[in-house]
Amino acid sequence: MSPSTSRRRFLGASAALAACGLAPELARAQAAKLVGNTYPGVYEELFRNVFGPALRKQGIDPTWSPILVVDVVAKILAARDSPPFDVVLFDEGPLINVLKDDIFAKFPDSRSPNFKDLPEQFRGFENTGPVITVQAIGLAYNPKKVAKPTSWNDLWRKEYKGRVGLTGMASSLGTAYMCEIAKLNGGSERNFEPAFAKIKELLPSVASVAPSPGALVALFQQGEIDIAPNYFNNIMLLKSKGVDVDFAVPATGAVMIRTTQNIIKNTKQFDAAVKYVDVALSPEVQQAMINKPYFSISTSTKVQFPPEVQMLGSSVPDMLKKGVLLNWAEINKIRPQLIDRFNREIKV
Amino acid sequence: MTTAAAPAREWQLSLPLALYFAAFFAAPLAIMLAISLTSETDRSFVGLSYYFKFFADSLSRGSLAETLWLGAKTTMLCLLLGYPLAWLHGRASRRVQTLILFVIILPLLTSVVVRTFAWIVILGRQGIVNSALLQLGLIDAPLRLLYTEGAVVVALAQIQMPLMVLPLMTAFAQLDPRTHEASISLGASAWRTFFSVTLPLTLPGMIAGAMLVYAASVTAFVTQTIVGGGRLIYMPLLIYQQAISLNNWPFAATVSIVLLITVLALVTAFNQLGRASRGYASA
Repeated sequence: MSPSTSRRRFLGASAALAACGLAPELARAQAAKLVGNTYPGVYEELFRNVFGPALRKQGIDPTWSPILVVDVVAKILAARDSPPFDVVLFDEGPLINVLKDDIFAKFPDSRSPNFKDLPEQFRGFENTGPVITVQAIGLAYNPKKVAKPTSWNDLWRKEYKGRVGLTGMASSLGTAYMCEIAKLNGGSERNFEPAFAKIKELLPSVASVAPSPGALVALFQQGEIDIAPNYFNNIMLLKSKGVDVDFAVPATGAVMIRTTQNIIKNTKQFDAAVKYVDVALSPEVQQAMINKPYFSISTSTKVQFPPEVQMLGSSVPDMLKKGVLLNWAEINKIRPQLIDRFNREIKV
Repeated sequence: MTTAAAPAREWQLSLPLALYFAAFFAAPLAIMLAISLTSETDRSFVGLSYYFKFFADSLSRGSLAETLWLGAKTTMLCLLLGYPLAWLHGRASRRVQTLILFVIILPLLTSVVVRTFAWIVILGRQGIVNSALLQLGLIDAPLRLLYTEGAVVVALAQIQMPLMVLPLMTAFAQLDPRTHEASISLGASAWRTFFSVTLPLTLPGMIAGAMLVYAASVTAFVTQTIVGGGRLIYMPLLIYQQAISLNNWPFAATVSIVLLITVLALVTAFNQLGRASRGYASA
């Protein structure tokens, strides 16, 4: 084979390959592509199995990145004009912090038919997007090894020595349980000192401080801990998979973290994004969200609470009465100092 | 091609890589250095104030010291375990050599995260070590092995082992077997031969391996956080928390630069040691 023939053949073959790569793109140009984030764990499964099909029926093709809120903020602030996400799932704590950075587009609630099903407290912050789900925080425990706890103070009981799991204050979970402990001991969203004092006492009992909420859940599976603060839906999902774990609502009430769906400014798919949020609020998606096996708490008043969720309330309005909403605006003012202080307290 | 023309063209061949390096490594590093000199609130120039803040704070100083010490412990353990393995490889037959090489390379084929989680399975309360000790009746309750510095050292040593063994294997391969024979024939005992002949000749390999393992273990974010837990705060976790959780980019950049310069200084010192040892070996 002479060199010139083989070179021509090679160029021809690679051109044909490139053409093959282009063809499928042309056919799929119909569905609107949206990029969003989801939380690792239950929400990721929920999105892929329930939300995804519902969106595709409406002509939207979603792609999700399972990452935490703080990472999302970092990425968006780094590329404002061409944001890597069109729609984001946000916890209220970091959301309030980031409102001043003006990264959200105003949500046109008149264009969303399902928006009116939401109670007042779930209509969003400064019109940036509705609350589509609530994460309930309480005590996760191993029913085979320990008795059902009734209050946050139970973490200090002698039976749990060496079996307690905690996580840092960089996550909403960490901040929420510390705030509840502060409130039980004379503190508030402005004063976490009682909580730090109590945590210092607890340290000998602590088996591990997980670097993230996801790692904390893994500790139950590995049999390293028997009691820890955690999210309702994560624990119920593990329970349905056969892990020895159950959820207990503390006497002071489960802390509710409002989680919103927001549209990022400068997104190239604004109309698709509005439809995306509306589908998230639709009765079908909201009901599937709260049913087995996801047990992620919905916010639409049209939803029926299944028996397993009744421990939090009989309906959305009832749950709002029994649960605890924190004042994140106050907490955010001192959050960096809190995270730093917590590190110093728990350091080995 | 004449010999005069060849040198003129040689440096241009390195241009593509040099430009790539400058654009994607040197420039971002310079930007990070610039960020570390600005304020977190309004990006005004604040000079070295974050550097002073870093060294004034006992948590940060402690974190730096512990991270460097972690690297040292991991390197020593790696050396202790890796040296005999490389020595064995040097003396083995062809087939055993291939087997040993395969066993060394095999961990590199799996992700670091997977290898780290394997350690969770081994060291956990219901893990292999605890189950074995319980069944042998040596302990009554599971030992707390995970989330300790020892666990991090052991896990890191295993994960970085290929980085130590491969340079050592090269060093042993370059060893002339006749030096060993000569030493024995001159009346030296096996241990004397080892310390006077084998060890000095493989010193460059040991130093190369030590440099690689040290740099890799000091910056091993994944293993340090998964096996160490949230209570052992090494420099990589500090950088992550400052940058991502607290959005304090200037301080995160400061911590990164401090770590970079410290490790660079140590590695350069090692390198000088390596150069000196080559003289020692051939003397």
